Amino acid sequence: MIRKAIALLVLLTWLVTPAAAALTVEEVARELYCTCGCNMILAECEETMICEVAKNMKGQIQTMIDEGKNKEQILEAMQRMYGAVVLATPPKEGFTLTLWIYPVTGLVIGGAVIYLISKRRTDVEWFHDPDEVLEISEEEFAALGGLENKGYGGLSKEVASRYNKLFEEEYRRYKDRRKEGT
Amino acid sequence: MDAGYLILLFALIYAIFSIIGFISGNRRKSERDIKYAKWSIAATCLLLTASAITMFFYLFTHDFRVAYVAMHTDRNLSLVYTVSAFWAGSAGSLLLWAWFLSLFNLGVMLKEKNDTTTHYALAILQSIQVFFIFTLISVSNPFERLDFTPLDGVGLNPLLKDPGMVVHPPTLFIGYAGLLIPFAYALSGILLNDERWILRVRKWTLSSWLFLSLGIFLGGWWSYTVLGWGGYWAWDAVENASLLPWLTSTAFLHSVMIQQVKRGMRLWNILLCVLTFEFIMFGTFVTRSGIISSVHAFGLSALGPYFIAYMLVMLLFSLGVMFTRYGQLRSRNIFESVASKETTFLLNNLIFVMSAFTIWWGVIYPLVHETIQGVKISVGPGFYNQTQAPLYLLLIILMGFCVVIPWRRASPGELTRKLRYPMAVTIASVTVTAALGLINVYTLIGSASLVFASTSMVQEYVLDYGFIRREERSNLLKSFIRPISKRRRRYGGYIVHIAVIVICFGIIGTMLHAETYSLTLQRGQSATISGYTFSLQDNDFRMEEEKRVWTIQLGIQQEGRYLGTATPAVEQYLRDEQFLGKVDILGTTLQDIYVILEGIDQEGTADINVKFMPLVGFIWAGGIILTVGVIIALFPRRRGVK
Repeated sequence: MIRKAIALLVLLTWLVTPAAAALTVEEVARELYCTCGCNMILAECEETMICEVAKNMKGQIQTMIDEGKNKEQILEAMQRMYGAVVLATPPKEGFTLTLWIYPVTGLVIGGAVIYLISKRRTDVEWFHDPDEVLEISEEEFAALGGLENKGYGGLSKEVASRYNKLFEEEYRRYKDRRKEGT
Repeated sequence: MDAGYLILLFALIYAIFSIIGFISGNRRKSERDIKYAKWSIAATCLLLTASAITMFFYLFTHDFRVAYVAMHTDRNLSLVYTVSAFWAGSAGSLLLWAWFLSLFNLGVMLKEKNDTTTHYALAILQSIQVFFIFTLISVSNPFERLDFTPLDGVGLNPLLKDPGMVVHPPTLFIGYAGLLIPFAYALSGILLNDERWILRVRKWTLSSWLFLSLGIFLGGWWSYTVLGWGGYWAWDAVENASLLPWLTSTAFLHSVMIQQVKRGMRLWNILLCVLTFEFIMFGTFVTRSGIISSVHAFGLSALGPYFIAYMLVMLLFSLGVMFTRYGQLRSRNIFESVASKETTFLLNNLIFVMSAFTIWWGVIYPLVHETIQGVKISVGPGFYNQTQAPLYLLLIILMGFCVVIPWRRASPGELTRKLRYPMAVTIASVTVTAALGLINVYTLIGSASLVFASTSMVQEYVLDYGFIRREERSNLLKSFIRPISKRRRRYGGYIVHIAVIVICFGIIGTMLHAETYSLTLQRGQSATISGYTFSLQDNDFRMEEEKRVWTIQLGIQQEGRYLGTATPAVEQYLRDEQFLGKVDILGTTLQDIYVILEGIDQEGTADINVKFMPLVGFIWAGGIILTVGVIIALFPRRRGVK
């Protein structure tokens, strides 16, 4: 079983990893910002306007590709020349790890909160179907709130609980009909 | 002093009047005060309309003594773009926004029930209005005068001379202004312990959400057809800022249902409204402060500190109100079973909110980094694509489950019965596409989840159709429409879901399967790329009134069949020598052929960039489907049904 899982994983990584092709200027230019002040990705700047800066930078990349440098080396060289601001994607290491770790932390904490909420099962009540709730008046809606909105909207508690029962019944009937239907 | 400025001053006074009127009127139970407050709202609206008309008047009469008019128009500007120059700058667009807000406030006053909840909501809305008018008359005065009268104006930035400029900003601003209403009602609701606000804000939230969505769409379409890099979304700071309130308000549209059906998530819904408000303000701040670099920014201005202070004040005020009313905000519990629609709604909210916060983090991260590390860095599309794509994939899968799982609880039998067809269709479609040779893993995973979500939605419709058909014994045609007309809210939502799925197909197509080719052609030469033949038929140079224009005529044929001629151009504006590319797009059924002219040399040899953009039309079609869905969901109900 484990062996199969590993085999599958290897197969998947092989599928996901693109085959090693020759490095193109476009590929590197996607990872860099143009420094002409346009705030655009280098690969896109020149398509919007005629930009000498972008042309120059692409030329530099082409030279480095011809020298046989790989993508990481070129990006590093560009960073040395133009400063860290030129890199489009901050690395997942060092201080900039704080950028990447943020969404993961949020999801984990949020997931944990939802898990805790899902454990609480007391005091649950079904009031309306979302489609039906639009058809009742505001007063009935407030009155059905029960506990908190005591008598809000001018309905007494008895009336409110009667409505509540009516809805429960209506819902049950709807469910039954639905079951027959399917 | 300028007339427009004077009008704004009076508008400010009336806006303040209306707030005092509503508060004292409800404290002292004075009908008269409330009447005054209401007339003040009408007056604010009237005065802001008057100041907008004044601005239009200055624009049309080319009154270049007004700095704003001189900065953004010139005598040659056509009528349509003279109108759109109203919102071409920071001050004007702020005025536009204030004007829209005043119209919304008037609308709320006239449409909504005349009770304390509405009065307090209006007071809060008017307080936001006070902030805007105050900003307009203090730091961002659109009616500022020059000491001299220039002979001609500077003119509109050539990139802004596009139909997109006419429709995109106002649509977005309508969305922004309207989404302040749920915020105001949420605060009013907790201040007064009145839960009815969640019913009352529905139509306002939904319709403003539609405008915000359309505004974002129009921005994408504008970028695609004009900017010439073949993209519709660049994860630029300002674009992101418009997406933030969209994400949180979408989360709210879902979670508000939990409060309606189970009286849960009371605190959360109010928090979402506050977040939406804060993000709207954040967007305005990002666009105008010049602190965060962006393609769209208006440039440095003194507005930054004002907005930051206001955002903080409103945040503290909202949290303070929530803190003091914490007791009554206690929610009922939601879960009867984990296998329920409720679970999918909570997960949906988690993903939407995390997506918003991650994007927000990416936008402000360069500032954070510079403050702490002292080095300026950039956060580009790579970060957003890598973090957002998995989240949206999860959302789509969740969408499929959400539709299938009933409210309250689902029995295991019910689940398997309802999941088997969507699952089967998904597996079958993946197998078929893989067998056809499409083996990009991301495309497969993406389209599999899209197929799953759409089949589960279609299945739901088919089940409802059969059920209603048996129940009502109506004729064939009528029973096709009945499920939708009977459950407008549900099916309006599903249609929006379908729109999202269609859009996602477009995004997958353009992001993963677009292809770019560079061609260098001389007149009369042609080249063939993947079945399409491009031949340079002609090139042309002409002088126009304000620009030099180089164009080419590029004939496109597919296997001998003539498809059309693309005429991309490069324009150079005489005023500032700025070069601008004009793309031409040839749409076929399944893909766009996007032609960019990169340059022509002396001998007439043209450098051309050709992009094949598969399924891009799906994105625009999705926008139309989305509109239909929201309109169905908004369609009014019969009154008095018990």
